Amino acid sequence: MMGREAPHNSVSDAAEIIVIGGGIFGLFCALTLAEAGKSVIILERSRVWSEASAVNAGSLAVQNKLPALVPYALWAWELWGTMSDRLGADVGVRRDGGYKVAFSDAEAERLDQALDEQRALGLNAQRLDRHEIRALAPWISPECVAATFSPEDGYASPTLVGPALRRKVEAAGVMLIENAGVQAIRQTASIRVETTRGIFLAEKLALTTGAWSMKLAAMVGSKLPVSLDVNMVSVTEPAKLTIPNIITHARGILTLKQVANGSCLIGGGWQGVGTINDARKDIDYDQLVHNLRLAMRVIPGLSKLNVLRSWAGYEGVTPDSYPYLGLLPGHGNIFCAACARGGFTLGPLMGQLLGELILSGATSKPIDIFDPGRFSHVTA
Amino acid sequence: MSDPVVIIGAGAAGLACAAELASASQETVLIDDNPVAGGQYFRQLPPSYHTTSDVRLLRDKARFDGLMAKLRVPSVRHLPSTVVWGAPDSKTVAYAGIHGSGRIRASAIVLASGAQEKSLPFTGWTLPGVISAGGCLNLAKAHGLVPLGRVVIVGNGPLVLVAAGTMIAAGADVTAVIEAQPDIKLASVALNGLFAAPGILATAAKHRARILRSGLRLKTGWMICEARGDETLREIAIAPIGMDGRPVLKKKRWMQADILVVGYGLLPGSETARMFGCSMEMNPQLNGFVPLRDAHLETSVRDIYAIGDGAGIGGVEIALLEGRIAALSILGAPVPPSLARRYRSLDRYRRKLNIAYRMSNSLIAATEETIVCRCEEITLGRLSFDPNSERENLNALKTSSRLGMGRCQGRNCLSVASSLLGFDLQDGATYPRARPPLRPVRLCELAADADAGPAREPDEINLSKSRETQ
Amino acid sequence: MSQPRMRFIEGVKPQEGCVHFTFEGKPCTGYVGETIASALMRAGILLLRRTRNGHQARGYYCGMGICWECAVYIEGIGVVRSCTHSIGDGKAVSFADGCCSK
Repeated sequence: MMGREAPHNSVSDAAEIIVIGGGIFGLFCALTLAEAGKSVIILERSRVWSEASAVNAGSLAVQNKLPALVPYALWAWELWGTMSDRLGADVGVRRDGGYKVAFSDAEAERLDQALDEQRALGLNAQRLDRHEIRALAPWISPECVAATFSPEDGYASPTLVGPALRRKVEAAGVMLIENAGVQAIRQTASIRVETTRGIFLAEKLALTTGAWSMKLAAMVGSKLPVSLDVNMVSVTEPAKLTIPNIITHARGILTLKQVANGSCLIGGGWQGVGTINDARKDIDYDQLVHNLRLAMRVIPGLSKLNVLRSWAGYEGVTPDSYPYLGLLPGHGNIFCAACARGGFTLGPLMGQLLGELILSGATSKPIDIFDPGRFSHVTA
Repeated sequence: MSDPVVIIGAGAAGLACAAELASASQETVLIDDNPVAGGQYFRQLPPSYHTTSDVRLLRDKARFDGLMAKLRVPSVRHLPSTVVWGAPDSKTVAYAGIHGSGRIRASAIVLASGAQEKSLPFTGWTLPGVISAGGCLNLAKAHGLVPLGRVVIVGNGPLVLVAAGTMIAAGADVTAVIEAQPDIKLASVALNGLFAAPGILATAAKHRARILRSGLRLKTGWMICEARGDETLREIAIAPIGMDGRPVLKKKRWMQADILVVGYGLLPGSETARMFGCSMEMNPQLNGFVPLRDAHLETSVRDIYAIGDGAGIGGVEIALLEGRIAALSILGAPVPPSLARRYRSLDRYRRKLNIAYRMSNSLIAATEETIVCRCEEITLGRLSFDPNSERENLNALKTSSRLGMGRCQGRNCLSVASSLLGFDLQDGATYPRARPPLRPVRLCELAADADAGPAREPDEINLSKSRETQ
Repeated sequence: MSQPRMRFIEGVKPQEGCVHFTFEGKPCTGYVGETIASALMRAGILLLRRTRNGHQARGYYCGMGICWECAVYIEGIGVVRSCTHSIGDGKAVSFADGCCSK
């Protein structure tokens, strides 16, 4: 039932690990823990799978990642490749490759620079000139001066992933407590999380709270800088399938894909209106127009399509754009994984790595660059 | 007021409002989705058509011409084939269309975008040949067409008689009229009303007389339950209405039909008011989800007014009055006592009428296999099994099932789906937010926005104090 | 071609002049200012659209530009509502969700 019950003094429940935040990071972390035999409770402020995880445009791209994140995106694809089987439902995973486009010489330079660094870290991508692009992808504007094509890019459907992942997590024995806003976190013999739906105890705590991670970390005395992006996405009517690969951009300002039903999803991180406190997720009309203009410039064939809806969602961003993953500074049993640019792509991996860290103190992949304490020395 | 008044919708209410503002030479922009003004009641034939004096088309052209004549002044700008796609703020309208796209800063905004049909899904309702009552009236008034073959009209409410009368006048072979009300005389009394405006009385009587003269089969207390055909309509099944509001299937009767007209009532179109942030309420006297208004017809948002069927079902007479009242409010002019009296009397009358016809709310012809979301082809069964149905969360259900994600943007299905699934949506809490574009607009038209502010490319956005998430 | 399904009401007189277009490749005609839906229905075509998934037959329904059931695709213009869009001379009109036109 919806609604907030008054907190009571008696404990509602306890588990070995509490995960705060029911998005992609939290769900995969909980799944990893539960499959290893641990008891897990997920505490979620509203509904599981309702924030960034649910409202992003579904890109699973490798090319648009910072070079250091390329290996992680590729490892994440090892998980995405079998996700439908693992979750027991078709979650719309497609890997038909993508073009990262440049429309000026300056953009082409950025493209080339990134390409060198990304290739050194494992990316399989091919640099194309104007003529090659015309020949291979005539649906991209002739104004495109350069592009890189990588077969590694793809997408999935957040709408299909959510319910399937939820079912899997519940089937693994994880307890999902929704509409539970965290009010306080106390550490005594164990960790005590006080919420609007009761008090929960655990030995270890994982914060997978995305854009809310700064607030939650502050509750346990940790400083975790997170800024808020309000990303807009718009969708067109279904159209004849003419865009077989996803599009990303040399400067990261456009994503575009045509999904199975023919609708085109347009994103790129153009900013809507809202703050973490006012909870507004409103469209910025001017920026929406510019986002659409850019989309039309890159794919002229979009111009006659009817736009049917738009929305905006919150994404947490760290100062260096790398995610957080690790122990919170100053803590031995409170962990955090949050704020990957491209959290949908990296989520299954990040969640799993966090689970591994909590289970054994070690992870199957290096996580040094994700250290949540890396900004602790920086004063406000 | 240096900024113009913007009126959204050129139907009866919007035209009356514009005419009143024109008489005061108030700068006005009248924006309408249709290529020709008139809305539904005053729907016009294409400008290139003409009619003979004895044309068998029932319409109210004289009043329309009178209104349009008042708008041919320099202070009124009419933007046809133009959609208001959003509200960047409560004083600005974003518009787009084949004649151009941009923003207008308004001193006042009048929401007059009218009503839409209440959907009553039944198996086969998506077949070509099944049309709504409004669609039937528009066939005649907007296209000058009359169906060939057998026409059957089913529904509940005054529109059923109006559709029947119009079709008969136009020369259609109307073989049956199936009215849900158990006693059509009772319905007619409500129609006549004891305090009704003479105009409505005369119209209703004319339609009734025409119907009775035509010799068609008139059935009361029955409803549509199914339609069949091989890609177009061939036959329909009707049945008496059971105590539970469902057709009594064992008494089902099939009859041939080439065109089925379905009219189970009108709903106020609430998207524009919700987009502008108006406080809304579910009001059965006004037939649906409507913006709260004060005596001046101003909504909860300063300088935004709502008039006509979009603010509460009531038909043309009250729409015309509300148009004038809103205009006078905007001009700061007093409403003449006679106008105020007539409005109060008509308002009482239409509220009684809406209550008298509220039976539509409890009629259910849909079964598990019936398509509820026409655009996305989603059946009631598919929706009932969705976990979000149990949670009574319409917005979440939209996301998980694709309900309302088609070109109609949920207009045909969201309201009826929530009612069929038994959601209690009194406060509209989980109703999907009205977000731009308010109606489908081609990408090139949105991109052509002449008044968009400067771009802030996401590439250049840096972490700043104001964006921290403390 | 099928039998006409609609005719002009007695006394309604469109302007003289023929506009030629095609619908799903078939030649059609109409009057100046006539809507696409009107021209098609007078020619006996009630099936204006096929749905994307089930290829279900759809046609004119609400007549007021809200339901988009009458949507058609016009080459060079895009998907429009045939109940409000006038026929254009020489235009190729086809099913809105073209990926499944027969």
